[in-house]
Amino acid sequence: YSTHIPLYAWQKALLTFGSSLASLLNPARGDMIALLSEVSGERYLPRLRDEMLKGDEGRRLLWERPSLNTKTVDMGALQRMERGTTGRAYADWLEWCRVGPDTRAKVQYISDPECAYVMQRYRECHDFFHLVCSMPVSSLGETVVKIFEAAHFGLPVAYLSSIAGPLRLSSEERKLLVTQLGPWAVRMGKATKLQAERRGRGSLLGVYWEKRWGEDWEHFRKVELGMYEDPPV
Amino acid sequence: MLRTGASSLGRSLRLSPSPLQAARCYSNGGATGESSPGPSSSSSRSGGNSSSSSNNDPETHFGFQSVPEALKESMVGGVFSSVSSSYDVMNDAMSLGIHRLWKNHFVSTVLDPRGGINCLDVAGGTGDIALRILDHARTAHADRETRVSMLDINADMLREGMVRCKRESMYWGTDQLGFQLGNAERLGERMVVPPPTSKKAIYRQLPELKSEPVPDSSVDLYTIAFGIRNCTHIDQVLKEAYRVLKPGGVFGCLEFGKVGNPYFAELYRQYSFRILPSLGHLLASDSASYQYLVESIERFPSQPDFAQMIREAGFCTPGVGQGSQIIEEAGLGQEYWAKAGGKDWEDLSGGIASIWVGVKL
Repeated sequence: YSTHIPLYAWQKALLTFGSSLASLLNPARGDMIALLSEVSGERYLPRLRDEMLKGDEGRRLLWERPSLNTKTVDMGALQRMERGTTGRAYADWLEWCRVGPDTRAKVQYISDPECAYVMQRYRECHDFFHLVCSMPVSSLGETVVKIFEAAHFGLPVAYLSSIAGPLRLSSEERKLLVTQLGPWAVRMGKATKLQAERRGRGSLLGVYWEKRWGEDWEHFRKVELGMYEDPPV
Repeated sequence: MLRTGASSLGRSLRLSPSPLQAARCYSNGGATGESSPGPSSSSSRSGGNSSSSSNNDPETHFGFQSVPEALKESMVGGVFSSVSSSYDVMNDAMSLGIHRLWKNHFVSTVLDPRGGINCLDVAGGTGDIALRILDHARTAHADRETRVSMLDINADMLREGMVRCKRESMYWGTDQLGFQLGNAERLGERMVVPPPTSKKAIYRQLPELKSEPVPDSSVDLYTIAFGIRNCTHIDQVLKEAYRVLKPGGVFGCLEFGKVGNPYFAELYRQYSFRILPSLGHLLASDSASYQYLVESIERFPSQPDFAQMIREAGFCTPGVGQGSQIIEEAGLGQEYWAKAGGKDWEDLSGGIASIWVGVKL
């Protein structure tokens, strides 16, 4: 694939070490966290891809390989959708957090093109995980989402971020995380995984978000995805 | 975690290499065996269908790729614009800090500027050589009349240099230090000054960049450190250097060379190709530019070849004829070149870097 840069295993190990250090020292460097997810998670991607293949939508995704950014998604149309739809919920969340589906760093170091797409999709769907958890883009919110991802996907970068994330929080936030939000995120992560498997989707990656803008968001969240509880905050 | 903050950093450094990335897909020119650093290369890297060779534009090398000459300048410009703010950090990481020793040696021992001379530091970028020249003249010779004009083709690098001089040196605001935009191949022409960019807030405080043509025979010392390998037409750079230097003026070039010892050379190559681009990604969010840098080092002519090019431009080099005597008379580090044993260049760190010197008669 076009952005591919082949590397030996020891180079990837070096990058894993370096990027984990860099993201600890400067969490604002989103590209370092992205790099960490790539080089550390490569082994787990085939499993995620196989799970995607189990479901219709997942197979479609792997075939069509859509990219999720401001060029492919009509943000204006989403904002004009009815209240209660998935598209509107997403647009509202983006506005609430004042972010957009920015161009995420492109995957470079994964050898298999299909797995590279799985990783790219994982990155681009990160905002949807925020939406599913109703978490903002703050340190606490990001940590909760990472815990959710760790419970759901099992990728090492998610575990690493879950450990490193709390270090940067204030003590009240940390207490909230440990007592309420953390366990909730773990429960939800496992529940959505179970539900996805029951529905034949495999994981949250097997959701074709771009085709589901018009669906009823609450119904989708509770029934299809299995988020049976709302966040405690 | 600040989303927007992260993206702006990532975007400006990392996501601009579209010309680089696009070009990489096309041709795999040059030494295919040496260029791919990995165990398996994907389809886009092998089978180089070089679309650029089909037309009649003269081609040159951009690292290991072949590109039309007209494009090389802007591609190099892209590289340096993207590395400009982390340039110094990367130099330290790449050479493990040894580049400082090289530059100190170059300025203090070899060149020994003194006597209120007029210097032109080409591809001066972040000002390493210019500031060393001024400091050396001041500390070793109590000379506060020596003037250095820093010239660079890339506005971002020049701005970084200005910021650095404002932060760290005492010469800002004096007439000892000047800054201008210019193309080393065409010093006699005025460059079009790009509009002020608001890429970094700190740039807004800087005065506007200017570009003046450099007149003939106006410069006593012309230095170019780690810049000449990026130029499209090295022979033209040398000719321009000859033109602007006064008779008796000195041309000094510090650049990466070829390592002599084959075992060390291989170790160095492995370090350059396997570790450096990843280091670039970690430190500067940009591996493509550092890949270009290490490839351009491979492509630069060897020490004797470059010395020959310097001679062809009209300079007198220490290794040939009465060269060493003339060099001494020109005042270059007194017994220094006699000790160098009549060679035209001096290897540093086993040949990783080299210094070439020439005098215009």
